[in-house]
Amino acid sequence: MQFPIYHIPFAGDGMTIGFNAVVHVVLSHGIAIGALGMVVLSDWIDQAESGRTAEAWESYRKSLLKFCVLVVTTAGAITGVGIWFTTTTLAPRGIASMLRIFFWAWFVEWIVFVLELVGLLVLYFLWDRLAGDRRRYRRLLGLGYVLLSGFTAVIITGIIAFMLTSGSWPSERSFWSAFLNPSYLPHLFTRLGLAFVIGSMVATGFAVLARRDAIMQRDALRLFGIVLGLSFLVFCGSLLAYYRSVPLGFTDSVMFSVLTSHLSQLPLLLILANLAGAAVVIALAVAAYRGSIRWSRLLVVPALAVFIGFVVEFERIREFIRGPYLMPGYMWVNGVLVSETPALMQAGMLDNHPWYQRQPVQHDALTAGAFLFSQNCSACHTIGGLNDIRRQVRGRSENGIYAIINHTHEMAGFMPPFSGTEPERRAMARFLYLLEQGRVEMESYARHMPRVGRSGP
Amino acid sequence: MSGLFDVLLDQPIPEALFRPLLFFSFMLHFFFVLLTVGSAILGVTFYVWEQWGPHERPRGWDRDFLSLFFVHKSLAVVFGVGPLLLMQVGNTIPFMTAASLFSPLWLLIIVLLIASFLLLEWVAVRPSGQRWRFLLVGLAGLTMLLAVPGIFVAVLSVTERPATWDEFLALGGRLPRELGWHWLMRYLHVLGTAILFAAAFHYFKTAEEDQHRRRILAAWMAGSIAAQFALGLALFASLGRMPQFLILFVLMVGVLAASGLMALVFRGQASRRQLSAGPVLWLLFLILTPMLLTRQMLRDAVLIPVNRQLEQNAADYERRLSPLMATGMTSPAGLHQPTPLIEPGIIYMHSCAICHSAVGNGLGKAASELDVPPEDIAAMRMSDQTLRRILLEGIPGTSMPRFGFYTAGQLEGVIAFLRGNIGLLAAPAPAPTTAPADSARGLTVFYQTCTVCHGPDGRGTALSAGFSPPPPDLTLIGFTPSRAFEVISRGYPGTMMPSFAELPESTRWGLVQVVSELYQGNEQVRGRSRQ
Repeated sequence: MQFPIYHIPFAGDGMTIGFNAVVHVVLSHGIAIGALGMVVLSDWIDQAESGRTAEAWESYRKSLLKFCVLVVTTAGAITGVGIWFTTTTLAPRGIASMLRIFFWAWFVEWIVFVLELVGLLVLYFLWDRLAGDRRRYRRLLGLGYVLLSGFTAVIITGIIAFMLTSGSWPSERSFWSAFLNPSYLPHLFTRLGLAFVIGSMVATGFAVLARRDAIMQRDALRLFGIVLGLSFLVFCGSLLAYYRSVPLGFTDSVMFSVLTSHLSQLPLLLILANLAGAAVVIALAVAAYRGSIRWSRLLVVPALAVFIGFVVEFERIREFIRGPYLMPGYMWVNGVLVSETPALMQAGMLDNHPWYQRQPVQHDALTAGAFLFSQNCSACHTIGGLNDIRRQVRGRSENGIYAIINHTHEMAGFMPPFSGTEPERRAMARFLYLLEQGRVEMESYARHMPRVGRSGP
Repeated sequence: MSGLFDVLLDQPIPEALFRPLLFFSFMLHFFFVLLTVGSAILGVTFYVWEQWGPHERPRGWDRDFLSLFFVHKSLAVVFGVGPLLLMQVGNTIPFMTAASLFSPLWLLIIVLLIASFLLLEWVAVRPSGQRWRFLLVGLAGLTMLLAVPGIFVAVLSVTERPATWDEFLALGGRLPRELGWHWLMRYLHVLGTAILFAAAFHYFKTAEEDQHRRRILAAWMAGSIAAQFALGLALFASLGRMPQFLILFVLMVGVLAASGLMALVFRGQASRRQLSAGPVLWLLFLILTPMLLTRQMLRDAVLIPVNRQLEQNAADYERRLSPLMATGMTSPAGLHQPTPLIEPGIIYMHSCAICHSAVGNGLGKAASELDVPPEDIAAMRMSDQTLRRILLEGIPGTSMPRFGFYTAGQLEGVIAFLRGNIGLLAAPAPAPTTAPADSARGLTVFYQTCTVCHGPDGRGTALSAGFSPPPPDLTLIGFTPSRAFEVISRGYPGTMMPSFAELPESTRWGLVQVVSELYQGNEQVRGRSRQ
């Protein structure tokens, strides 16, 4: 609560962080680890040292390398920093706390990033010169790069996994108790599997769509088809292990997180969609393994789209079911500490919130109610956008809203409790009631400041 | 011993290590930022000069200036992670406050960087021809790139001036005037440095033996140093107060080095001799280091006491709230996971019992807070289908929630629970035996009075459809006889259903029979109503 509040209007915070994060995951896992991994793999496995096949392979590798380096250093790196930027603004207390718990892990991660990038640039610029009898240096450099890249995933996954299964950290408060948490390993292998699924798909796509060197296409398809099949297996298996390592109190909302209240009564739809998607991916793996250029051409783009859909689904589920926590046992999604809530219920949130007093508005019941909504609920609910709070309170009286605010965290396991006194709860209920009735206009949707002086009593 | 145990009070890195680490990591990052930004400025400027200038054929200088853009920008980004991490841990509240105050511009940086990188790299590798198109691409890329240090400088300026935060907020996110001037001078100072460093870099790296190009780059170096003197002076004036002696001393070292470099460049131009790399690089280092050091020292002078005060505030806050935690209610669900909502009995206790009570009689702990009391669901009867609809749609006008956040599986479990434990889906209770006279009187009263709102068939009317809540559809929702009698006699608080206690008891039992028959689907009752 030490930070000013800013929320993304209409799209909401979660969608914004999520969109940036998914782009980053696809590029960092799929390209930086996976696709570049395929470049390195084909460099190691390549049997032909000379001749037209070898030349075709060299040409293929170089163009795939170029594409990957461009994407990684541009969008891949920036979206990674982007996760940082978005959470700084939208969940400052959470990211500030995690930076402290995992400081040295992040510091080491930085060093590894630098080495990884420098390694990649060196690999790229020396690629042509390290051909022929100096090729083994190229191979070793490539392997070193892939290991470094994978190592960044090894580090960051510990932190992400902690956000869902905090292990014994809430009581022990040590780095290792946070890092080596129950879902860490299955989560890591899910990500590594994911990386090579996307990587092998991109490599396949490059072989059959961007290139026309039929001479190496069949060999390429076979190689990447095997990688695709194996890595998809690892992905699915790890996902299962991951699911089982997450407490029931979180997994009970897995279906809802994807279906949302619009489709929550059609769970079969979700199951069928996922099975259909898996079928497409497997079909591509089979087609590639059997060297079918025609089928690979047809399937590679749909399969990639489907799998990116799986990534979106995975990240969405993981982020959603974590609710009501940002850090289990320590912090709620809205940035209030679990330990703070009982205290604030007596002492009041507004009196203890440095930024409430600093808002340049007339401090009355309406602005109080808006601010309380902003701090307690806006992590997930927008006004007038996705997950619109007005839709949630529609049809209720003011007393009805007041009553339910006290119990939403009991009814819906993914919602945190209201951290304020009874009068504060009344103020927020009044604000929400007037808002839904259309009797309050918002001056700012991002900082939730109502337009004062234009509302009815 | 209870306490907040606020993680923000932890210091993961000792102060003695933090500041040097921040300084050196930032210098590394900043160095490559300078090369990136400076090369972009030079590249686009010379692109224009070559395409529309006095030359017959483009000489490709702009391509050379942008040739290493790719490498510089990658290194600038990756080195930036370190100082960002350190700033957010060492100056947490000031830095993150400033970033938040500057949103959404702060967030726009992500898009600006990706777009500008792609556009400028496109210009770098462009095919020949299409000069207008690449002019647009280059200008767009450069504008977007230059916006980024502008935003960063603004965020850092505000970070370093906590006293301006309130004014900033009051102005709706616009910089206060004095701060605006400071920002502008600082930003231009950064751009000037970028041009200087990039010009020097390209002098030695890409110009190589091209004497003509080197002379021009040297002129750029001289010009940028001169501009830096002026901008630096204005920037110094914008500080508003005289810094400590030590800071002044460090600053003077930088100024001296800049003067030395200026002299070197002028001498080189005058005598038409090449500059040698050694001295120039040393002087550049002696310019950059003191300048960055000055900046960090100025910031630390403000922020170290501010951080100390903020830590004190946090400790006070913890002390103030801790006793309330010990004596307060137990923290709701303060465990590592919320209660799993899978067992129907658990879901019922969490979602339904609050209002309807554990036995379903409508006397839950929240019941008294509601305008429309929760129904005695143990005394209601309905079909699976009706119940499912109510659970999913709620009852608008009452506080009955919409439970769409439970999936079909969870809801089916709850429905089964309601059937087995609360009896909600049981068969309708037998109609009470009433004397024929009472039944007839009940029917008459029903047609005369009740149909106004309930309609002749019990399904409501156009009038009552506008009530909040509307009356229930009596063909779909049934009651036990005693409950129906209660509602008829006492009314339903918070709704339009009044009390009919003035009717004789026997008549009321007759009405109970009517209601019962409406639910049972007695065609005779419904048939008569149409006459």
